[in-house]
Formats: sequence, structure tokens, C-alpha cells
Amino acid sequence: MNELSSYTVDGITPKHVLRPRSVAELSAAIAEADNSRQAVIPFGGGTGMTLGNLPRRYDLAVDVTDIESLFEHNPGDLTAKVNSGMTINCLQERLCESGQRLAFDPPSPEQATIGGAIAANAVGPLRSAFGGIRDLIIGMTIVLANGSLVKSGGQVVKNVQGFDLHRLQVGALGTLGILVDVSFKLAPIPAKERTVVALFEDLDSVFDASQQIIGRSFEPEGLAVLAGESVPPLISFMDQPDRDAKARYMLLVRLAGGLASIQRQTDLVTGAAGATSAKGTSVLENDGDASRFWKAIDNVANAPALLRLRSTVMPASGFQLLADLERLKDLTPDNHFAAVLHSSFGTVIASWTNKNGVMNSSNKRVSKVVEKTRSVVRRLGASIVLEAAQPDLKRSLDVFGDPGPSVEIMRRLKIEFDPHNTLNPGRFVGGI
Amino acid sequence: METSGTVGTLVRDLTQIVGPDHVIWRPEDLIVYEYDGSIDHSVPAVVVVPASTEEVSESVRLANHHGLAIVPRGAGTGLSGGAVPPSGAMVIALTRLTKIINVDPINHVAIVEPGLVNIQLSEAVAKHGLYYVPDPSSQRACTIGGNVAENAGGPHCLAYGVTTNHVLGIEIVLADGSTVWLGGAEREHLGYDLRAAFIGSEGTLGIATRIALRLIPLPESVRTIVAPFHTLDQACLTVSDVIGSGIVPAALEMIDRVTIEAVEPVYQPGYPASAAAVLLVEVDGLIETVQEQAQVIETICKARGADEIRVADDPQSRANLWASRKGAIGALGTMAPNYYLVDGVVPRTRLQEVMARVSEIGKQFKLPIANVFHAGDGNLHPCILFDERQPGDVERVVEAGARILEICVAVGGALSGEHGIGLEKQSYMGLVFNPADLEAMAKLRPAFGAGLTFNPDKIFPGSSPNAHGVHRTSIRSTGSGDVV
Repeated sequence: MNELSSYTVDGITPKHVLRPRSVAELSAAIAEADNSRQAVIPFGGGTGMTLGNLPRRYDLAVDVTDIESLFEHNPGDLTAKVNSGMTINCLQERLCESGQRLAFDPPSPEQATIGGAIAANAVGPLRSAFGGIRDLIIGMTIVLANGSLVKSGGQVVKNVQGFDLHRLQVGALGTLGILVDVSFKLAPIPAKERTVVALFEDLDSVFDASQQIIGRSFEPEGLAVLAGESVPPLISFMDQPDRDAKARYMLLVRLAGGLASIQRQTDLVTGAAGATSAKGTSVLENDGDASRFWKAIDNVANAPALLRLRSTVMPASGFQLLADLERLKDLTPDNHFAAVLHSSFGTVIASWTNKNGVMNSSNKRVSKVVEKTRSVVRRLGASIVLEAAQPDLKRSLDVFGDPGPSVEIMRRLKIEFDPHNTLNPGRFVGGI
Repeated sequence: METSGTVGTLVRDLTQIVGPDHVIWRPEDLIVYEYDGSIDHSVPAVVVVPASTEEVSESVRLANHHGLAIVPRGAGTGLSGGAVPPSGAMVIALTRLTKIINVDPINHVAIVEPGLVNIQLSEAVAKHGLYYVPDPSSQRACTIGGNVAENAGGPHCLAYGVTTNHVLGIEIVLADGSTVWLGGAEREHLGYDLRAAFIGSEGTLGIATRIALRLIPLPESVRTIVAPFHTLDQACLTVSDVIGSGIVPAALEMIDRVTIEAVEPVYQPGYPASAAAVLLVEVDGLIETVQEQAQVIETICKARGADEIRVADDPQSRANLWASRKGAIGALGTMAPNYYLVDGVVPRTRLQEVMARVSEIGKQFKLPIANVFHAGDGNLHPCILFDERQPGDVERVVEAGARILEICVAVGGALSGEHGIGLEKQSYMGLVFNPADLEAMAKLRPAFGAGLTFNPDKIFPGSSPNAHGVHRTSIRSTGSGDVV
């Protein structure tokens, strides 16, 4: 029972758990579950399990992290093929030995697995320069609901051979298949990295600074705006910060390159901050000092939350969305609100957590926040996802917004790939 | 079989949709649409050239009504037979949908129609300090819609990615004539990544009628390094060294001696005549970044014996160099009346070995092979030169091409880097994919409601009676002048 409870999702515990030791075992387990019409939820590191609708049926948890490790690294080709159950940190450590990395920095990398991070479309600041994980995948093997192993793509950075089934799995919550292994294109670890932090009073100034930086012919490695209660504790770590209590937003920019290039980039960023009335700017070398700032970004997305939302709008509109969400920051008398905007992408993640660990809050209040958020985002022409919400709330809401008419194609895809609705049934967009 | 009465009805009904000037049905006019970058002879029943999404939609519905297969067509520059119609099909040409609907310079997005010629997009957004990265060598002719269908690449995709990394959303017309957006203008969307499924699907799932594209800022500085090498081996090893040094250049192209000899009289790029191979390495970005990277690259090239390195950093001299690279295939017309351009990918670390084996194949089959290709991402383009009038040439070319593709797959590469599978390579899909893989891919057709409406004879092995390996589809006359 103890083991089963660690596979609880939204308060629902499965009847069984399987931890296959090999791909063949995984394949057989899924085929058997499909045959006997069981509902399966796949598990990696378990960091993304709050994402998705409430499970209506949950018979079997299948944990892929015991499957034997696979690590084929071709440093000269900047490619690697790895098993889906490997954690992000484990992969990065091994690649680091050859001076390389996967340009992907989602939250909780010590726990999150490759497969899980892909299935949840996890996101981190490196996406600014390298695109999401979607742009780094070159091939994949998946197990379909009927147990068959299928591969698509290849192991070279360029190929057009057949349909792109691998990118279809990104953000799919394992509803079309369970990831077995993934091939990636890698990047060299930069010679030098540096972080510039700038403090602002108002969002318009942050927007101006961000636009000036994005318009240049270099892409910062990371570009994010931090808002809410994560900001004040970080101010004391800046050099000579303006301790003005009204400074509410922090712009974080990570730079990479050789010595001369990084100095030029630093000058461009500090220049932009100066030109847009930043209330303080710090330049931090990446080891040690800068990491606490980037960790604060991670923490918005991985702290246990009453409510966490994510939405991707047109990049410039992200600032308006952030402002609108800030107005909804009071959920309970003493909740903590924090938000991050990945400004070159237009993704906002906002979280409401409870300071004293009590996880109850009037559902009506939370629903109201969700409704207001949805209408805000509708105005901006996009949809939000509730990445984390209390089970009670999930009972009355679809955690995904309306995907639009293409949902019909998505439904037919699901029927084609998982006709018995075995994999994570009902938890995806459109109730898929 | 269509009787002339039924064809008459078809033509009349299409004329009601697009007007008489945009329906092509006379045999002498249909001939133009028999082929694309290949010369498979297959006459369509009719060609229609709509002017709007609605007209595309109505044409699709009409094709359904008459039980016709549909082949969407852009500029017809494709090299794998993607736009070659199966017998009796309706070709829907997107060449009148050429508008740039909207440019959003703040969010770096452009929304365009599928018939827009690739380079015209970059030319139009240059005034905003932006450009569209995927730059196939045929970019002066090929269309965005075709680029989407084939997940087109180009030399600058090495650092920046291929078409699928730059398309944000696609409006498509489905097999039942309905229209739907996959994705949109935002950077990501709810649900399955349907735009990814559509990109590279070679016109088998629907017809793109609007495309939302990501633009990137023009670099402050660009430098092209021209490094000649005494041996092909040294050039190949240099490619690995550059990537291994931690630099991913904006472009890294290789040209061999056969090609150098062909392009010199046409473009006068000034490559040393004694060079066995030349590398074109381009770096871009901030001035300081370019200087740092160029220095490392030149050092590496010198260490591998390149002693006459030249640098081009003004727009005119760079344009000349790139013209000689992108026009290389056309220039080969001076050497032989026909060529077959192989498109395969190998891991960069196997380049030296594979190039040696390609050279052996040339000797074994007694065929000159020119190599001009995207060395940086291992995308080979051995160009086999021959004369189709010479008895036995065609057969030997077919075999040589097949051997080369087998080598690519055997060393862990891919069957196609940019040209697609189409008719040309469907019989080779089994080298890479097993029946379960192909069965899974085939599920996309019913998911898109596509059945066998669009390009039914493409990609999947055995789906075309015309796909007799590479011979029927990719043999070109070098005199036809298209840039590839």
C-alpha cells in the first residue's frame, strides 16, 4: 500500500503498479493492460503529475525509471540517444564530460525524467535561444497502447523520412504512446556564461528593456521576468540594490559566448536596462551567485501549489497577461503569489502557494480566479492550462482551455493510436 | 476511367469556381504539370489554380465529388516526385496565393500564403531588420507551401534549424474541403503538435493555405570563410574539428573538385584550381562573436592544411560566393546532359569514410560524381553525371544511387535530408522502418480525415506503380536551368 500511495494522482491511488526492468517487459505490460481494458498512467520522475484532468479511471501505474539505462553519445556529431527514464541531471552530467549539454533546463532536473519532461512539455529559460524541447528532438521510440514498439525520425540532425511522430509526443502526456528512448541534437557548453539582473518598478519599462534586447542580433541564452513575492528576497543579493520597496520586477538575462562577445552582450543589456529606468543592475558570473536567481524561476513552476497556470500568448502580449494575473494574486488571506514570463516566447507561469502549508481554500474563490484568468486570456486570444489545481477544483473544470476546431483531428489521432483508451484516459485536452 | 463527358462536367464545374483562365484541361497545356523536379510522365486529369482558401476548398470538394485524387503543387521544384500526379488526378496549384498577409515586427511573425516564393519573404521583411531562415538552394523559385510539405532545409539550417523549427501555425484545407488551423501565430499551442505532424508530410494530409512563420533578427555581422584543402579527407576531418571545437557555424558547405571546375567559368568565385575540396564556413552574430568564431575556424582549417584561406565579409562578395554554391548544380550542365542528385544524411563523424565510399562507387560504376553539399549537418548531395542516351547509363545511375543510400542508412544516417521520400525513395523506406513503424505513420491519414485523397501514391512503399526506385523520378536534364 505504501508503494501504491506514491503513485497517487489527484488523490486517486491505482490498484497496481508495475516497474518493468526492460523495454520488452514494458511492452508486454502495456499490451496486457490494453487487452484487459485497464487504464494506465505512465510515470517518470513524478514531477509533472499535477498536470492533466482528474483521472476518471486509474487501474495501473507504469513506472519506467527501472528500465535499463541507455546512453549512446556521439560527441563529434553532437547527438545522443537516451532512455526515457533517465533524469535530466543525470543526462547533463554525462554530456558535460565531453563539454556538451542538452539545451534544456526544466525545473526539478534532479528528479524530472527525459520522457516525463517531454510528455509535459516542461520549459526553462534556455528555450529563449534554443527553442523548446520540441526543437531538440531528432528521433524517438515509443510503445503504443497495444504494446508495439514504433520509431520515427533518426539519429542525425536532419531528416525527412516519413511522418514526424516524435514531435507529436511533446506535451501529449503519454496519451499516444509511452516514450522509450529519445534522440537529441546537443549543444556545446559555452566557453563563458554570465547573468545580468535588472530591477524595475513597472512592467512597461521591463517590456521596453526586453524588446531592446530581443531586437538585437544575438539571442540571450535565457530571458525571463520574475514577478510577485519571489522578487523581494532576491534584491538583497544584488550589488548596491535600490532598496525601494516599489521595485517589483526582476529581469534576468543569461549570456554566453567568448570573452569579447560576452562583454559586448553585457554592455548591450546593461545599456538597455539603464535606458529604461532600471532601479538597479547586477552582473553575476554564473557559478554560485547567479544560480539562486535562476532557481527562483524554477521554483515558480515546481513548488506545491494551490493553483498554477501556464499560458503562451504572443510574446509582446505576455506583459499584459502578467499584469492581469498580478491583479488576481490574492486567493486566500495569506497565499504567496509568484510568476515568471519567458518574454521572447510569450509564456507566463503563475503560481499561488499557501504560506503555512494549509492546502485548503474556498473552491469558489479559486474558481473565480480561474474564470477571470480565462477571460483575460480569451481577450488576448489564447488559452491557459491549469498545471496544478486541487482535485475538488479539477472535478468541476477542464484544466485545459479550448484548443479550437483542430481538436477533432486530435480526437481521431487518439482513436487511431489508442483505440481502447488505455493511456491516461480523459486527462488530456478536450477530454481525450 | 473518366469519359470525356465527365471531364467536361469537371471542367465546367471548376470554371464556375475559378473562372475559365484558371482551369487547365487541354492536353498541350497539361503537359507542363506532368512533372516537377523529376520527369515522371503522368498526366493529371485537370489542373486548377485557385485564388483563395475558399476556392481551394471548393476545388477539393469537387474532386471528392468526382472521385479524383488531389496533388497540391507549388513551384514544382521538388526533387522526389512529390508534385508528380498519379494518373487521372486533379492538380491544385497554389501559385496564385502569393501574398504576405501580415508582418508583425514586434512579435517576429509573418503570415503568408503558400505560393509565396521563399526568398521574397526575407526580401520583404528585411526593412524590419528581420529574415526567414530556411534557405533551400532553390529559394528563388520554391514556395513556402512546398517548403512546409518537404520540411525544407538549406545551408543556414545548420545553426538555426529547418522549416519545422520556424513554422508556428498552418491553415489547412482537409480532404472534405473544411478548413482548420493547426497551431497559430503564438510560439506554442494546446494539445497535440499537429503542425509538426503536417510539416514534412509531403502533401498527403491536406493543403496549406496560410502559414504563420517565425522571423529572426538579421545578424549585425556575417563572415564567410573559404578554405581550400589538398585532400577530401582533410576537408571532412575539418568539419568534425569545427563542430568539435564548440562552434556551430551558421553554414558549413563542401564543394569538391569536380564542382569547382564546373562553377569557375560560370561564376568565377576564384577557388584554387588545385583544391580537392573547398569548405564554405559562415559565422554570424555580433561583431565580437564573429571575430571569435572566425579565428578559431581559421586556425582549425590551417591545421588541416588549408593555406589559401579567403574571407568574404561584404554583402557583394558573399553574394557571389553563395551564388556559386547555390548555382552549382546548374553549372554542372557543362559537364553532362543529365544528372541525378542524391540526397542522404550521415553522421558528421562518418563523412570522411562515406565520401571515400561514394568516390569508389563512382569508379565502380564508371560515373563522374560531383559533391556539393551541407557538410555541417552531414547532408550529402552526390550529384551523379551521365547521359541518358548512352545505353546502360540510366541503369548504372539507379544502382549507384541505391548503393549510396544504403551506405547512408548503414552508418546510422537518414534516407533524405531535405528532398523527401515522395516517389523517389518509397521503396527504400524498409531500410529504415519496419512494418510497425510504417503502420503507425499511416495512422496520420485517417486522423486527418485524408484517406487516400491527397498524394495517395507517395511516401509509403508500394503505394505507387511508378516508383521503380530512383530512376523514374530524379533524373534531370541539366539543361533545364533550375537551381537546386
